Amino acid sequence: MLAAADSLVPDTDQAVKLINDWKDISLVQIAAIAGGAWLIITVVRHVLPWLAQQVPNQLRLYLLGAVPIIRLVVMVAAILWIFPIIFNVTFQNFLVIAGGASVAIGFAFKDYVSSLIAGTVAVFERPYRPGDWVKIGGNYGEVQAVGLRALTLRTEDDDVITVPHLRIWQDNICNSNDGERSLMCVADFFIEPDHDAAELRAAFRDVALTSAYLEYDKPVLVMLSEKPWGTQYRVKAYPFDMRDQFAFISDLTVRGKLALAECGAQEVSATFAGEFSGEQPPNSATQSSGKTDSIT
Amino acid sequence: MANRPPSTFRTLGHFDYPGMPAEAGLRRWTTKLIQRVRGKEENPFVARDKLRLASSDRLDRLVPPPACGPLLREMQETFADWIEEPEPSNWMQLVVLPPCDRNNLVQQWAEQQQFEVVAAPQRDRILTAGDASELPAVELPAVESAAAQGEHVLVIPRLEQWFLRHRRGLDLVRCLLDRLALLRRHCVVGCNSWAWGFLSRAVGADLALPHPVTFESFTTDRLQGWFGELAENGETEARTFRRSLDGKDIFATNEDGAPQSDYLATLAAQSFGIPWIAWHLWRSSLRLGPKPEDGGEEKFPDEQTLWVTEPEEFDLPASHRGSALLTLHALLLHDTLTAEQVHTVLPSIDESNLLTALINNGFVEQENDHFRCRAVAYPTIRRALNDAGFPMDRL
Repeated sequence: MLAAADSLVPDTDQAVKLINDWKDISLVQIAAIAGGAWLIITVVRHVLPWLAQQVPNQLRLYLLGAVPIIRLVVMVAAILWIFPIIFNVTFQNFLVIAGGASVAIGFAFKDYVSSLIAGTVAVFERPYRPGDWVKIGGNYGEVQAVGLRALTLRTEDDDVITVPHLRIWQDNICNSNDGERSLMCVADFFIEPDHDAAELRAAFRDVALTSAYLEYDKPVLVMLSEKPWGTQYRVKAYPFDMRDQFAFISDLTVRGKLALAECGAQEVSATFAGEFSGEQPPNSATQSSGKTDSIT
Repeated sequence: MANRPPSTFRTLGHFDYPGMPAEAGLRRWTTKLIQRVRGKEENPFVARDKLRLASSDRLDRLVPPPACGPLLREMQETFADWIEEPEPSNWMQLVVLPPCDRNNLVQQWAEQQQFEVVAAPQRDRILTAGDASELPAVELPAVESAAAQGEHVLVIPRLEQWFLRHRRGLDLVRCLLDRLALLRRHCVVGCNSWAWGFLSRAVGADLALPHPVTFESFTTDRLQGWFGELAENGETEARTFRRSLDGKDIFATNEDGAPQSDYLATLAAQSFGIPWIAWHLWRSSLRLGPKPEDGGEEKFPDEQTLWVTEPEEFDLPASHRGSALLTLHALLLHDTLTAEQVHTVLPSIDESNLLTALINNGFVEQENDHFRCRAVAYPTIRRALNDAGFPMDRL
């Protein structure tokens, strides 16, 4: 019995030493580290995006992309610094803490922690970075910020959408520019079948080539395909700045409509198109943006 | 410099943009910072507002035109052997020049050599000719007849005047390039560097004219030689050019012949190595000293001093920056445009007062009904377009 009691003593000591003695824990030091980390992160989150607006366009995405990386590094450094101040770091204690944390995470904070882990994975895998234009679950917009738990998108209608990182486990992430400065824009035209396709295709190509927003170093493509209701033209080109994508598509659409009128072609009317189920264009001309975007 | 044989033009793509001296670059940033914080300039040797502007006539005597320096000689040197060849490997030569060339270098050279010049059509004709297929028949006979006559060199001085950045504005330049490709006659084509970048992309002009050349960049040494020649004329003789920022003599040299002041190196970098930009910046920087009766103190009473101030800074309209850059880019591409043509080549946005604002801010000048970028504003415009990610010119 005594022997059994003796064998319990070291365990009790170990348990007591899971957390350091209160007198050894410097709350001031912990507060200073946490405050310092918070300050650095706050400064980085505000200064780098501001700086990104001031510097040449070529550097903008690099500065924006550095924000989540710096934040992660600072947070990890702060945690690694604070942890041994509070806890008595031994292998046994690690197992105890990990076990307790697993239960808590498994029951209470599963999604939250999943988002945190996904956020960390996103920093390294880079399915999206600040400044990228992405489509997640039907929402298309510019990544404004990549936080710990979620990212924020600003859509073309100026809505801000918060998307938890855990979506990367389940959904496809469609990134239109993938860290580059430009992205493909597509202007669609739906034309009645009776027209000179070669002339119209050349006209659409010149429409894209003479746009003020065009990036010269990227290709200009005009694709056409036959549908039961007529011919669909897709004018694909890149603007020199992806922030101009909607202005670019509008410009292509306005001048494209003039071109097709001058070529004597006619757009498909909704009444005519409606006679064909399943292959029905939404409007006579639609716009879309993003490399893998489709007409909806 | 006069004793040195003239340089020849180089293949496009080898233009060396002069670098800004490190000290000058740092000083520029600190000056901007000080101006932002304190709202006024750093204490210069002589304050700009105490100096007097010279009249236009006086400037013409101090810095006489042309603004192209020795380029006419260099151009002739470049093509002299090629012109003599009866069966050259390339019948066509392309000279790509930076914008704001008010001397019409290629045309001037052609007239000097008494070559045949094909004038560009009226721009309005390019779009209003009706059926695009008829347009070449209307506008190209000049090329045809010129090509059929004589053995002289045929010169098209400004290719940028043969198109409009519009869906129907490319047909004529396409036809022109097709016809020129069939000529078996010496032909020199001049083109603005911004237009060349666009035409290479839009109509594949680089395939028709595969060997473009341009002049050698005007670095500190070349500027020193050229401006030294200008300073030898009667009006500026025995005058000293001093920088208002630090009072240093700009043309004074060390024992090893290097200039004591970094002004010319800074000017070479600011002008991107383009002689006419440097010439305009130099001309706009010259000031006369303050009059004694105005209470101005003579800093160097034993000499006749001409003061050289720092180049003027230009500000784009803050609330219309994007539209302003689109407009300036279009003007650079076409060299000159009327207000109506500006609206034709730009997206349909309502910016009716933008040209006026750009004139007021010093970016654009008007000649008759045509607008064009000012040479002194070109460094600011080029930097702003580059920073905004616009497709740039190719030299």
